Amino acid sequence: MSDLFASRFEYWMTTALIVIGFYGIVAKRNLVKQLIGLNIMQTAIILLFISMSVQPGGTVPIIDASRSGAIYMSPLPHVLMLTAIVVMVATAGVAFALLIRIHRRFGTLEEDELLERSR
Amino acid sequence: MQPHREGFVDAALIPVGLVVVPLTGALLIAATSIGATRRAHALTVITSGINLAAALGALIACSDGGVIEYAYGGWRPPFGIAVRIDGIGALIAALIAGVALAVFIYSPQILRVELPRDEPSFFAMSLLLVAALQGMAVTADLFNLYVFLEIGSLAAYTLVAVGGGVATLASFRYLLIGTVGASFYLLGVAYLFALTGSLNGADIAQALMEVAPSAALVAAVVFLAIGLGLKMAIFPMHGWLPDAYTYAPSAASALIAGLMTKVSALALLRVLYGVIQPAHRSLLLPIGDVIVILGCAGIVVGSLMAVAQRDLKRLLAYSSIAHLGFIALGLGIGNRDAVTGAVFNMVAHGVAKATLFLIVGGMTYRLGSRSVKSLAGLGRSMPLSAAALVIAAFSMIGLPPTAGFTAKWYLIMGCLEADRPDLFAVVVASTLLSAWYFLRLFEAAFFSAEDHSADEPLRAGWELPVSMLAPIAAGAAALIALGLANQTVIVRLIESSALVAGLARGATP
Amino acid sequence: MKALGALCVAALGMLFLVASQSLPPLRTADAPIRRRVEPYYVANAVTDTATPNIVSAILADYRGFDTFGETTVVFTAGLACYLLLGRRESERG
Repeated sequence: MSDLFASRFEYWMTTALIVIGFYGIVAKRNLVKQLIGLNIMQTAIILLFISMSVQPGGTVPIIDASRSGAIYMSPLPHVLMLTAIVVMVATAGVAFALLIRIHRRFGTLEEDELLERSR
Repeated sequence: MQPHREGFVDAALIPVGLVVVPLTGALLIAATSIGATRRAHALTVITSGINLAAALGALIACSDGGVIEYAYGGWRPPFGIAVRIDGIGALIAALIAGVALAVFIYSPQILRVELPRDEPSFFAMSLLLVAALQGMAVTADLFNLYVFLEIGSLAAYTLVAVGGGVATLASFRYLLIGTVGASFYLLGVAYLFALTGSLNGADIAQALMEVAPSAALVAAVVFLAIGLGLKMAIFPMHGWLPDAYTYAPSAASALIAGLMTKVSALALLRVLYGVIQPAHRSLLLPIGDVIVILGCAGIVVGSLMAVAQRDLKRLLAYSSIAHLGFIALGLGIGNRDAVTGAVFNMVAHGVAKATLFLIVGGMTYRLGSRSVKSLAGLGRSMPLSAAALVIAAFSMIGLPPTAGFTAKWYLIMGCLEADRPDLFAVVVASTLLSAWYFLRLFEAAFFSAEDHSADEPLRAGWELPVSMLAPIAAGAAALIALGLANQTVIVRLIESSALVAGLARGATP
Repeated sequence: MKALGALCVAALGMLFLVASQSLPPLRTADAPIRRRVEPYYVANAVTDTATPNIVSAILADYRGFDTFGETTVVFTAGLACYLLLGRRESERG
């Protein structure tokens, strides 16, 4: 059991984060809190990806010709997650622009009040 | 990096024409034409024309089993990103390009009403949406699909939100749910990557042969299905759709309703049957069953809710949910006829729904209203639009000789072959329901005692400007043409593609 | 409604925990992700791209199209913010 945990604890930790983020989206009534939950969830997925690249004894994936036989961390998850982080930030940017518009128009960011004021 | 079909079209031209040209158009508009509506519109129409030409080239090159394969930068997959267009991909690319061109030709007048002074940015954003959808339709790399999915989604959220007021709320809801969907999709890709080490669809399919079925593989497929299902508005993940379609500007509704969900459905089709099924067919059976159940629920809920609507756009939105349920049903059953029906439904529904939203936009333009009641007398005041409404509605109901009939026919054949008379009953029942709410519209338009046709229209002149009528008429004509030529399309493009040819006929064992 | 949400969240958590058991263990030298494409990158990045930084080589060369898409995402978001916030007008919501 402890070996199961030790070799996979990144999976468990990111699972906890994803669940927390998802809970924020479905259970919270304030739009900003929902957005925060979304962000937490996306960050957790990025962490999950990156945690797959670690290797025991590995070093930064920059090839150093002077050290033969060096073990490098896996570079591909890092590359993918660079793109994913940018996408996450861009989405958050558009989301905040929307929230500003909503607040200007309706004066509130609570879902129940928004429901009333938009009738 | 060998082009599959040498000849009049170099293999690199088509992906460039499909993806890069609309992107360049958007950039050019942003750089040169903010504030110059006419120039922006000209740029938009020119780039979508090139887009359509590239899509037609793809159609010709990919018929009868042809495949266009292209590797960006020359790096062969799985080390680089590749494009792979088969018959189905070419069909969807043509759908995207055709609907986009029609909507862009139609847009200027209605945008002047709904979104004054923002037209150039709207065009740029729409071109970004088109580029993203084309990128999704042709890519062979799962992570590349995610990137284009997000570009398209951001563009769609914005296009909905520019409607102002309640549209911003609808757009935020759409953003939240849509981004959760994309995140689940990314999670599925992460799990597949952890299990196989590759990101290229065909390469993963090969690598999965050596991976034993496990909970992680099931989780990967479930996450991918949930993610793409959220984008596709499969029940119960359809909550964002009615508000988003209703409050978006008319041109945006036509574009998003016609295309966004269909391309996500295409992605789901490719992931399930191109990547997972070759190695793990037995894994897909229970998942297919769940998709079937959710599809039926979507059909029922969509059809029932549509009956009760007074706002035409909301009625069309719920009818979209029902049709996406049909597509899900076809994908879930998984035999050759059902999937063929699902793909044909993607095309038929895309064209029909876009045409219908354009007609409603025309009503908004001329009459200032989009309630069902204001349809009264449409047959007299806007005869061409009313005729197009009839044809598009026929396709939605599934009556010959429109494209919708062929789609329903293949779907029904798929249900019967899979030995599922209960699904056959669901399809028939929803066909009757959609006949009911559409015939109600016909009654209002042609046979109503009330008659708004003598009311002073908002704008003088003939029914609608030609630039708005021509795309509507073209949409209706396309539905009939597709319906009459359905065997050509199906045999040469859909059934000849490796994806569908690899499916079994009849009940899945 | 909150109960339904909590139920979804719990189901999701269970799915994750069960699935995590059968994912390949982390921090091992022969995980599937290291076997398929990574050896090629490590072996050929310098000769193909003259860049010792493998991450840069993949980002800018092998998977440059993804980076192209990424810059397009930023452009889209910027254009979106312009469309949504560009003008302050009282009659537009």
